[in-house]
Amino acid sequence: MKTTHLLVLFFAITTFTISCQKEKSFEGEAYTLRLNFQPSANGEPLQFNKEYINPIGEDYKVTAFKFYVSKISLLQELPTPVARKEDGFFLVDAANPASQIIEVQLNSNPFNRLMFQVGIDSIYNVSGAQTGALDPLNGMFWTWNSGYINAKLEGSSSLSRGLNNTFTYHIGGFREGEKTQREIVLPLPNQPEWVLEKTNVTEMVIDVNLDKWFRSANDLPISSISENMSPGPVSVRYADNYANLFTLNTVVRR
Amino acid sequence: MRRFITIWFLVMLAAGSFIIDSCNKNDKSGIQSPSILHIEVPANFPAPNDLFKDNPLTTEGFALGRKLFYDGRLAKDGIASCASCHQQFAAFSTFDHAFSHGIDNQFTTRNAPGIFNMAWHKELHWDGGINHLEVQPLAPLTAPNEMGETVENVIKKLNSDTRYRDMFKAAFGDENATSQRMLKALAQFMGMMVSGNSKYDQVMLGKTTFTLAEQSGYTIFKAKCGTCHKEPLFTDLSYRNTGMPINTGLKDLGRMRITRLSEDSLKFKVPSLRNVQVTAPYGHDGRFFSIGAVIDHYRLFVQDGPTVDPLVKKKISISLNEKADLVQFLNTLTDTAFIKDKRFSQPE
Repeated sequence: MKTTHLLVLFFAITTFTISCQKEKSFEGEAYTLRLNFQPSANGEPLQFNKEYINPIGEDYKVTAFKFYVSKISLLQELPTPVARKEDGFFLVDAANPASQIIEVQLNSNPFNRLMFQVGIDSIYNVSGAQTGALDPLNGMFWTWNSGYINAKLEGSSSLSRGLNNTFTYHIGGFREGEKTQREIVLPLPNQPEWVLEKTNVTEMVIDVNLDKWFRSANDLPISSISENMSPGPVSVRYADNYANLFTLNTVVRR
Repeated sequence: MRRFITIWFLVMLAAGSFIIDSCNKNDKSGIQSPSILHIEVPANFPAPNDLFKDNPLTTEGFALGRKLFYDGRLAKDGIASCASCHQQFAAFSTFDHAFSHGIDNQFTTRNAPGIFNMAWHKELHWDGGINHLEVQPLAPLTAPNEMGETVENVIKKLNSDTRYRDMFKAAFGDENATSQRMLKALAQFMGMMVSGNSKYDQVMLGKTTFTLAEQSGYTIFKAKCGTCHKEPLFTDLSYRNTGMPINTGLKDLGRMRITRLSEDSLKFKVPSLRNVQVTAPYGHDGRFFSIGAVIDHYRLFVQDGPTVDPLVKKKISISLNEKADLVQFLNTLTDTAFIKDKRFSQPE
């Protein structure tokens, strides 16, 4: 009889555990990780409508800069994460300081790398209407060719051949051969062991250096490309560049 | 003792389901749950796509979609609704217009297709650029030459209207109008539009018979048109270049705009021929004003080119008698019950 009781109890507990734990593959309590994205240009905090010079030597001013962040993960040894936010999408918008600070609850396990993805996985590009950060009212969805714009940079330059010297870069594409999601891995400074803490928020300050948008993996002069607003090879070249925008500035405990 | 165990088991089970319930659902107490609807699949149709997997069909969701479809306030000018260009009596295409009118007397650049049997289409638009029915309305809503509005403004308008707030609550559990809910409701309304009750369908189900001319037309159809306009949807959902010379004003490259592959240049989605009698004019740019003109294109005017479909490259041999019978057959594809179905008409 006692065995039956225990079995029933075991069944009930199992049901409870399965139904309430979504990230059951990760161990440890969940604590707060804060990512603080700080857009910059020419080594100073990015300001809209201020003139900068890109590494190619072209003057430019920015009027819009946004990108999607997803799959925020902590790693110990590549490539298996020790903690991951599976379902979170965040739109970082240089015009909205609040959007540059992202807080997620992650399981605390020892880690020495931060990983996140710039862009949205293909499944969310083909599964109908989405909401939250993926709401099409955020202006990051191509309505004529279904799919998300993973990153957007708009502005002007005296060298742009676009209308009124503007440039418009809407970068996206999720199909095989034209993917623009990019995985970013940032190693943490050497220290005995990093873990998320119960009493302190772990904040990682990440520099987003726009200079590299124009020159890093590829040279993409404003004078030769003033607009790109569709998936394809040009989008892929910009994606290869925006994969290089990010460096870890500091990690602070607050 | 056995009874005790049974009771104990039931208690644990109840507790378990309570826990599951509290984990997965928001509290919806006091709200009547919407009533479930089902898509009607005609007996001679294949199984539809799983269009409603994440969007359960309900009477309330459908009713909201119907109101949205007919509401001109979704457009910038407050006049152009979905139904302005998708008219029920024309099987939800635009009657007698090669190009539909958007706001400010602007023309669109393609012929508005009919809306029916959407649950069997994976890709939409003449170039297949839309990959899900739920996101299709974003295209006409935001195109400057169609409804010219922003998604943000549309949602603002819906949230400031008490009638809509009530309908969103009935369909989705609370009053908040979001773009996702609006699009899911529209997908329910359009996805429910099934046209499969024409004379052709009646004949296929053995309920009636073709006239001699219709039967002859059907035989010709199967031999000369049925590969691309495949039964029972009367489209194989592929993209093909039918040898229509490019419109030099529009320079519309069709499918290539989406895939950027030169092999897709001038290819357009094969339109369904269901309700073809009421959906004139024809072609992606509406250049053919009668069914006869389309048939004549294939008989006489196909212009060869690198991507022209091998099936029409050398034109299609159709005599004038055959052409007349073919038209008779195509007229049996008109689904009068569908174009008069009150469920899909303007509400109130």
